[in-house]
Amino acid sequence: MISIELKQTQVSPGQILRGDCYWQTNSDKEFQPATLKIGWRTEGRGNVDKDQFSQKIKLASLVSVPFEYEIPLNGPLSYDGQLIRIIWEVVVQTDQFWFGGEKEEKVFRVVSRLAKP
Amino acid sequence: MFKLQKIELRNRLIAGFPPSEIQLALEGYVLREDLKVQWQISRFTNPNWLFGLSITFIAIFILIFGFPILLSFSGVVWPVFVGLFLFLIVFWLVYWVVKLVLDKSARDEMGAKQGFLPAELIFSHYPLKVGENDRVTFRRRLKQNFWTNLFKVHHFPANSRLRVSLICMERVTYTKGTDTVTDVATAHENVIFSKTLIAGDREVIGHFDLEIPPHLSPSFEGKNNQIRWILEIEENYPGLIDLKMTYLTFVVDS
Repeated sequence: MISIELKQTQVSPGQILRGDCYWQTNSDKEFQPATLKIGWRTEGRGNVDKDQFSQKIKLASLVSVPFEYEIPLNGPLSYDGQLIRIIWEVVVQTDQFWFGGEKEEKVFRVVSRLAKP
Repeated sequence: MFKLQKIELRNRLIAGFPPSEIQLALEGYVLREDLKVQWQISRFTNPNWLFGLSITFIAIFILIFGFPILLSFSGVVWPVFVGLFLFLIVFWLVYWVVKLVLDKSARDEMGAKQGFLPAELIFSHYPLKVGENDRVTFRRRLKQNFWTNLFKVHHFPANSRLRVSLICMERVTYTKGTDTVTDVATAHENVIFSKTLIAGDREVIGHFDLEIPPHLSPSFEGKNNQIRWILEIEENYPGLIDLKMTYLTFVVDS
């Protein structure tokens, strides 16, 4: 089972998002290759637009894998409108395409620098 | 009337309507109206009006040329189409000449349309930011050419009026079966300025404050999803043009 912990649930463009991901398994595997993706995607009536940063990581049982990502200054803010939602998220997915692949997502908000914390 | 304008804006948004280009000039950042698009949404070329006129053409044609149409069924096809084509052209020309001779407002609008230079918005800084306030200048100039001389449009009326609305719209494109569908929704709309313009001979100017509400989203340009900021400008030049809508899209940064 993969779990993601974020140090902040709300960041602004230009700030750094920090977090850790963990992997817990009952198997004998020492390592599990996985992909960490951080980025935004749209949701709603329109076809999906997205932009993601992707990085290969190695998960080890009960070992924390820290990550950090600087939110681009020109990236969109989180948005919840009538036709469009813009969602920022961290996704960790094991590189295992057959039965038993794992995936975990954690949503966070990107807000204007003017917004009060 | 207000509803019709909304439909026009909606249609323009669906048709594309990308954020306008802005140029840095000595006086500030100048955003110019696209006159080609403006001409398309004029009441003289309104699609509904054209549709009605086309139906009238066809009805008159059938009444007058019923006999040649019957001939077409006996093998004489091309003269009918040549006749239809010539008839449409002649009807169109006669319509315009009669309209311009008899209808003063049509003459005024024709002169104004041909004589107007693009509307301009001058920002002191650009792009605008969410929560920030800017003093914006609206300007419309009149040029001097054959049409303005012919229709005697030499100056703007003194009591010209300007009404500016700030609009934020969502635009999405999605696939439905084999079709690509576009839809729009208004996220924010507010009249921010309504006042008499300062009129010179060949120029009108209006100044207003523009504030992007801090709780709203900046512009967003995805391939299929967009959030766009628009200034909808209603210009009223009594005796020249009764009503004129201009849409200028600008960028709001976070």
